[in-house]
Amino acid sequence: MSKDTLTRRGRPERAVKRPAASGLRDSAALNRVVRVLTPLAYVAAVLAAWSAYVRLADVPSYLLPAPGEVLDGGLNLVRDGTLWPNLTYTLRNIVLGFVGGSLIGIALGWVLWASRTVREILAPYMVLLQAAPKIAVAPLLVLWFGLSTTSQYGLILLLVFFPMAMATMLGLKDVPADISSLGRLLHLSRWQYLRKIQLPAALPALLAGAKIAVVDAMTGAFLAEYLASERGLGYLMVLGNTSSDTPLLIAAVLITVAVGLLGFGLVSLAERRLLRGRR
Amino acid sequence: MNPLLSVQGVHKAYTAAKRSKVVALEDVDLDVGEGEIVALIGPSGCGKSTLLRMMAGLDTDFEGDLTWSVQPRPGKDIGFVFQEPALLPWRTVRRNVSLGLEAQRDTSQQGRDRVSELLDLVGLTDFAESFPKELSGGMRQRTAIARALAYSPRILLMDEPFGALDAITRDRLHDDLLRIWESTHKTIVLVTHSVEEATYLADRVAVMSARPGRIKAVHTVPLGRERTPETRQLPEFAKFAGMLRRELV
Repeated sequence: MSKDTLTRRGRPERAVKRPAASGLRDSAALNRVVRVLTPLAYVAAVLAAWSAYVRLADVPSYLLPAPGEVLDGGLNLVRDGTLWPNLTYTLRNIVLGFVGGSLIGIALGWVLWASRTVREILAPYMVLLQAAPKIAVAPLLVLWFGLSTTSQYGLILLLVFFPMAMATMLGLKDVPADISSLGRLLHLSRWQYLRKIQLPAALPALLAGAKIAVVDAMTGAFLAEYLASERGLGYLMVLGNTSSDTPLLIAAVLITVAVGLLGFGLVSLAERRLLRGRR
Repeated sequence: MNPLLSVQGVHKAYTAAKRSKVVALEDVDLDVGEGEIVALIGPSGCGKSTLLRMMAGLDTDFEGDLTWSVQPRPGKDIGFVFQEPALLPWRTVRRNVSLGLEAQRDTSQQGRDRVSELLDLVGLTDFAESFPKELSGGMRQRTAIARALAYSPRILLMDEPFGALDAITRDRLHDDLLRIWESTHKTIVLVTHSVEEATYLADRVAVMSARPGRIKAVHTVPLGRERTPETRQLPEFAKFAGMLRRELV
């Protein structure tokens, strides 16, 4: 009897709870759908506006081709086998330039942090070098090293090392005073201190620097190919431009943007993984 | 009594802004006995933290002598607790506590057991794999205390370790520290600006005055080593704390 009333009393309660919980689950799922759909809708709107503009204003194809023509241009690149070798060439340059430039930048950043003398001697030149527009330095590199991979890598390294060196220097300074005292109390060797305290403490700054450096590596790679290469995505842009193949040009630009987003996305992913568990 | 550490005629001056000379410490004498808890108390700017950093070997720019009965081995004999917990945010509680052992390349089972014992002693066993950001302020400072004890230092130096905590947490950590002392009988030098804290924890209290920083008096706390929250209600407790307070002004 009493059991019966209990279950009866329990039932409506549960009945009330259930829709509330599933409502929560629904709104979370809805959130996820919205998060995926929003950028897609955004792209669709841009494409629709682009295609409508081309059709309504009757823009000639050599000025601005319709999205369909650009897609055809891109597919043609895939079909005749020009995309793959050029894409991998550029990707290889970006990866090698980014890794090499980052290593140089981190090493230089450490030296700048460790030695006040080096800092005072080098800092003005580094800033000067950075203040010089890279597009003006690029022809000089071509002049000195010719139309070679040397001048291409030179340009990429020049762009990448600076943000990494600055990020490293600032990051290494980021160790709070108490924690550096702790390092002395525990009698950590220089190497132990670097590995166990400084580098992990500098990691957020290093990753912030890497985000800038990866974009700079791509700028450098495209710029170098644009100026002095017979291969790569930058070269495809030049080819599209000089042969008045505007769909090819725009397709190459869009692929470049995709590569850029990929590089930035990879660094952001690394950041989220590596900084998990912190503040 | 053969003191573990004897401070004799310590003097420290430095040149501040506008080239004015500031005497941070003048003629400081103090003995710290083995297994004793000594509190350094004084107004801010009296040099009590500076004195503690000298004992830790973090400040070597002074005149006078620090004599140890046994010279501390670098990285092994001095445990230090800062006002802020100063934990490494990328390490779990357990890995923060074992940092000192790692520094000595101690990977022994005894070392690991010791870390687990200490985590148990400060009540953090269930949080051993948590990150500092997941802990409360009191738990973080407990982690810092466990880290300072992990490599069995001869002396534990604490620089206003409970200053940043709320009153309830502070009282609880006082009892934790007394419990730790019960089971380890570590020598402890504690810098504080609270007369109640000094009275509750210490065997002896050194009262310092500011500008120039010197030791005004050293008092023995008239209470037994056995201290419980009820001790705070005793008339002797209030009388001694009141005397310290009068001496500070």
